[in-house]
Amino acid sequence: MKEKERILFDENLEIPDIVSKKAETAFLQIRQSQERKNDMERDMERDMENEMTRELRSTKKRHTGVKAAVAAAAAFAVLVAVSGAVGGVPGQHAHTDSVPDIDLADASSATDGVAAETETIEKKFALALKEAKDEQARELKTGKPVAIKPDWASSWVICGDEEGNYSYCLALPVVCEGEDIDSVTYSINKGAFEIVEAKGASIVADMKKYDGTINAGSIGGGMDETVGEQMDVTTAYCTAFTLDYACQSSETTWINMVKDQIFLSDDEADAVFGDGKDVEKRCAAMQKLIDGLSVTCTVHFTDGTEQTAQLAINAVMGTAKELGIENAVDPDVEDVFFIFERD
Amino acid sequence: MRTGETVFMKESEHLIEQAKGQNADAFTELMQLRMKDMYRVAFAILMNDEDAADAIQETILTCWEKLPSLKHTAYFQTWQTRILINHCYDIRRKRAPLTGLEEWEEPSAWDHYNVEWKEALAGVGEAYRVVLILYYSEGYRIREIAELLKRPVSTVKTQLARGREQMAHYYTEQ
Repeated sequence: MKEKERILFDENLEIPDIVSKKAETAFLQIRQSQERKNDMERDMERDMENEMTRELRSTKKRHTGVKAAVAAAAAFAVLVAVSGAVGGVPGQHAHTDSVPDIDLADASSATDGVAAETETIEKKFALALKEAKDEQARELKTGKPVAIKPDWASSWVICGDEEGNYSYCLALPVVCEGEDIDSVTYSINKGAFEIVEAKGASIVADMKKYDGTINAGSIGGGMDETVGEQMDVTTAYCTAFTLDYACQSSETTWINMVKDQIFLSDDEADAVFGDGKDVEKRCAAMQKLIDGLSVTCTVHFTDGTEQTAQLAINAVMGTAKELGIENAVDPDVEDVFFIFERD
Repeated sequence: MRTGETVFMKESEHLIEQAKGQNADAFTELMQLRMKDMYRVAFAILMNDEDAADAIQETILTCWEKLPSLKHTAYFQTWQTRILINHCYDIRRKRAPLTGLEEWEEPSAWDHYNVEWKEALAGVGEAYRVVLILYYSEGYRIREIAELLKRPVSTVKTQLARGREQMAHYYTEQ
């Protein structure tokens, strides 16, 4: 960059009036809240002092009251000890009449009954997208694609070099739901899975490592903003991985799909990285990056049988409302979405 | 810690410590020291003084609320910039994006000093502006910008290169 341009960026700017005014409003709010807090603290201190004074005044009277309470407690303790000796059995918790004791033999036969019954029912499983812990999972049904939020960095990242080689990193927020499932294996048809996890807190039961290197972006880890500290994570690349059904996600695990060395023209790169006004061009460029990407999900049932489902991932144009994304900030704004579709 | 942050920290460490203890005077002074930096970043994302003012106001209030829980005082500036960027993107998501020169808010008569800066910024694509500002004006390194914007390092490099190209193109046309 030329010196002239650098100077432009180093220029001392004037702060517009509106910025100063709004900042002053914020400072005023802070001072007022601080004053309220100080007032409350003063009130509490005064109340506590008053309370202590009242207590000191009534000390003599309360001493008498305490003696009476001690006598009553002692009498109650004697009664409890007597009733325990009569009806209680050492080492067992007392049961009330309304809660019957459970016979272990009965419980075992009941479980067998349920197991026998499930063998005759066709095994089924559902796949769903769940992007955040507090979000409801959106089920993936055949013919009904589900879109992930169009959030750069939390759902997907695309990057590249000056020679036109680009890469993508796309979140795979898929969860499996069903009965009698032991584990779930995911495999990918191109590129690799990128698994980012907090050190020492892996949820991956098994993985088939990717043979090679991938230079792509990453989703996950990052800075813990409240403490200003970098999260200590490990990143692994694989073409397949297995999760125990009981532990399919964690707050410190990010599973992504990555691929590099994809060529984009300057026009296509600007459509993705630039202003993004031409949604159609942006969609075409993003589809070019992930074209043909699919994930196979193999569900391993507890009886040793397996079932699979295929997920195709594509880029589409649309609005959050049209694609059924709830609580979107801009439900009617046309954007590019990545959709997951089950076969 | 980046060089700019070291200088800022030397000058303001005692203010940060006092502000962490909920000293409103120290906090106000600290924010005033950061006002121009905040404005540059907010404007680069929002391209609108009123929206930038809203983002800065929200950032001041958030920082006041969260500052006592900031573990490492040394990262105050990066932490605050991150909060500002989040507020800017929140505002931008809620409003129609203003990007091109034709949509750019006309500066008021007294605001003549910022005109050239604003025009130059408006000549650069939205995605590249904030990267250029953070890199050239705020002095962040590429890795730090990637962390701030939650983008991969290679994405930031690409955006910086493309931003430079657009900047050069803007000056060629002038």
